[in-house]
Amino acid sequence: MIELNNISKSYSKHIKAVDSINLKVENGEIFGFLGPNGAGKTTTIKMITGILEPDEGDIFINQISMRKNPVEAKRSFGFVPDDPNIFPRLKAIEYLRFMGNVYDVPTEARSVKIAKMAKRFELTESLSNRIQSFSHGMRQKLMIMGALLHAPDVWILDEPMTGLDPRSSYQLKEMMREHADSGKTVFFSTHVLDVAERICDRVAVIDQGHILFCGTMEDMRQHFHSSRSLEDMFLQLVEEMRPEESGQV
Amino acid sequence: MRGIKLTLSLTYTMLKGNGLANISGDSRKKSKWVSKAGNVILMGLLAVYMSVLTGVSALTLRRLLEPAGLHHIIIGLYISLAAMLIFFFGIVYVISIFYHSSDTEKLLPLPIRADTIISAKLILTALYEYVFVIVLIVPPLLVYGLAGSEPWYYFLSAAFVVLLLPVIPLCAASVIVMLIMRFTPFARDKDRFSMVSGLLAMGLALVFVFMTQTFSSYSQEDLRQLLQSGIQDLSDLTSILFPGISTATAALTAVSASSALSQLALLAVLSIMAITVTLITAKGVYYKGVIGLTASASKQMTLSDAALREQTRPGSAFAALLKKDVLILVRTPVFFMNNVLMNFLWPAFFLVPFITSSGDIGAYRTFLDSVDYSLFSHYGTIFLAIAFAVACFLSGANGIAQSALSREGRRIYVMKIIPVPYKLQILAKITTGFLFSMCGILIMYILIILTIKPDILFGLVLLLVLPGAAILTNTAGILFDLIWPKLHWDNEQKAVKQNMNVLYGMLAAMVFAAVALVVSFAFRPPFIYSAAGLILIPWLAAFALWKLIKWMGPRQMKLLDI
Repeated sequence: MIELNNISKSYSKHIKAVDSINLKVENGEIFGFLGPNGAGKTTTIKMITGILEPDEGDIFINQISMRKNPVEAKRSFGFVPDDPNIFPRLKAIEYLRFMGNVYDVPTEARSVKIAKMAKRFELTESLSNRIQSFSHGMRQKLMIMGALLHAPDVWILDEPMTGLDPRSSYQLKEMMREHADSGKTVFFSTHVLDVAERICDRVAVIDQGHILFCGTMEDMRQHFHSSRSLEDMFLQLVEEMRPEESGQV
Repeated sequence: MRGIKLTLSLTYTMLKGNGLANISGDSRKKSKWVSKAGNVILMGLLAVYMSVLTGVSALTLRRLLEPAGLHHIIIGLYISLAAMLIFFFGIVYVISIFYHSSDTEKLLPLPIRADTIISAKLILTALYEYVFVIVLIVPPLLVYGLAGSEPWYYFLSAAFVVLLLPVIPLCAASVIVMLIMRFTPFARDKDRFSMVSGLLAMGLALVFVFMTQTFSSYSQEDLRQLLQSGIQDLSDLTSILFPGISTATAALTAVSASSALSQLALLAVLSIMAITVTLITAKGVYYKGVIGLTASASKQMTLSDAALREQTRPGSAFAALLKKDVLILVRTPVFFMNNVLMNFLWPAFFLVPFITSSGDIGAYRTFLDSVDYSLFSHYGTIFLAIAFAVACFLSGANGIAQSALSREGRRIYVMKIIPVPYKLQILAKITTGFLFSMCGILIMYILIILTIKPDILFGLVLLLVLPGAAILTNTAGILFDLIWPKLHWDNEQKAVKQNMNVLYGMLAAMVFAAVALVVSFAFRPPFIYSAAGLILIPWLAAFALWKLIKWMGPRQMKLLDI
């Protein structure tokens, strides 16, 4: 479970990148975090994962405060960044061992899990190779393996579909579903609205640091009294929030 | 005409994107200019120093050989040396600029012929070589001409020779590299290439220091004979390797203007022929050698269950962080050359003079041999302080702790998301620096023991003193990087080479060294106090710094935004 209580973050005195956000992502659901460029998605994810500290408010991962007990809270989630280019000169297996040791994954569980995930992502034959020899998609898959190695209760992904081929993308969506169905939480940001529409139990739309909408797809359709696609509703929502800009155009 | 325009335009674009025009890469405008100006001044001073060195060497050689009427062979020496160096540096430049530079991949999809790209890259490489030639060959030729009041056509020939000299060796290097890259896989691995070329350059530097020390012990007559035969051999070799280079020597030593001009004309024709051969080769093999270079091939191998279990066996988070840092340092060519190799090279540089035992250094060695290295000796106290100071310098010079966070770059966020306390992560980084520093210090220790052969007790005390230098300099070094980490870089060089923290850490190490020396020389404490102080104080100081880091480090880490 992820809980954001009155979270704010500003990079300058006048502009708040994220402004008093409240959000609760329950166990057993896939939660999509949507928004245009510069809306505050990445800042929010950075705060949830501990990369940035909020100016105000607190974040709870599985009811553990990121502010008061960050190390314990970090144990509860696995994070897949949008840029998978980390430690290119390590071998894939060395990276996974590093993650296993850092998250204290039991011996038997780690080798079994690595073998299983490598088979699923077709990386079995590449585990002894350096990450720098991997394609973008292979690196992305390795990051997913690293994030799931300690079987986290909360799985956070930043733009996870970027660079994945259709097969891997399908597998990732399946894995997200399985994760949620086992009673755990999946939180991900995306630009691909089709993906969000198809797999999310709930979505939140953020723009200019504010949450514009939070609910199920059905809630959104009721809100707009429409059966249109998420893309249409998303665009209308964002446009409504920017009257002065749309007026200028 | 359009081809020439395109070539020049390409050259200009590459020049803007390459080192000559982009000495510094700091993103902030003000610091970029400050850093750029600093680099230009530093390079200018280095060029002046090298020019004076080569000019003075030419004058010394002329004075040495003139009485025997052999001074003209100096021209052959400088031309041959320059041709050889242009060729060897050319090999490295050509692989780097023709194949591994970041613009290559962007040029390939454009509708540009291979010979046009190569012409532009050849000009760019030549520009780098000219910087080198101006420093290496212009001062000796000028000094030689002025000292001997050579005729006007000597200076005219010298100007043309300087202009044409790089062409033939550079073309030879280009053709060889293009053929190697087309038909052998070795140089295609960028990391491997950087490692090997860097090691070669370091090896050459070490050989140079060794030879300089050896020559300084020769008598004038020995040196004259050695030079005469050596220069002849070198000239013969370069004439075979680079046909036409001997015409440059012939033009400069010609007895008449007409003879000089005809030799220059011959050199110009041969240079044009060399360029033509290079461009023809480029047309045939360049694209085939460069395509697919960035897509690195890797072996496909399935790990057995046992191997998988073995390679994923558990360990502590601290050990995992330490191993990760060590592997990245050793496997990243820039870090390996700047941070790791330094630990092994500095002891060698320090001790070569003592091994060769020549000239004034021979006298020092005799002095060192006469010193009584026992527990109560006064010289022992001073020697202990000197050894501690050298260890501080060695440890501070590797820059590992001072760039510990900077080397992470934008990937520093990994430190922030993993469930490991910041203080443990910082401790792992200090330990990495300490371990590498100790490698260098232990090599120095072994060489000291072998060269000056102190008594056993003194050797043991020295062994207890030296680690203090490593722990103190590394703990102090990481403080700078915690306060001013340089995380925004687009190539690894900037994390370690253009990072002021490395310099600050070296300065701090020098301060520690200076304090130890000043206290030992000024107060001359008894050996037992000196030894106890040098063993305990650095560890206590490092402990105090660690307390500060434990308090400050996590706060600094929280503030970092990427």
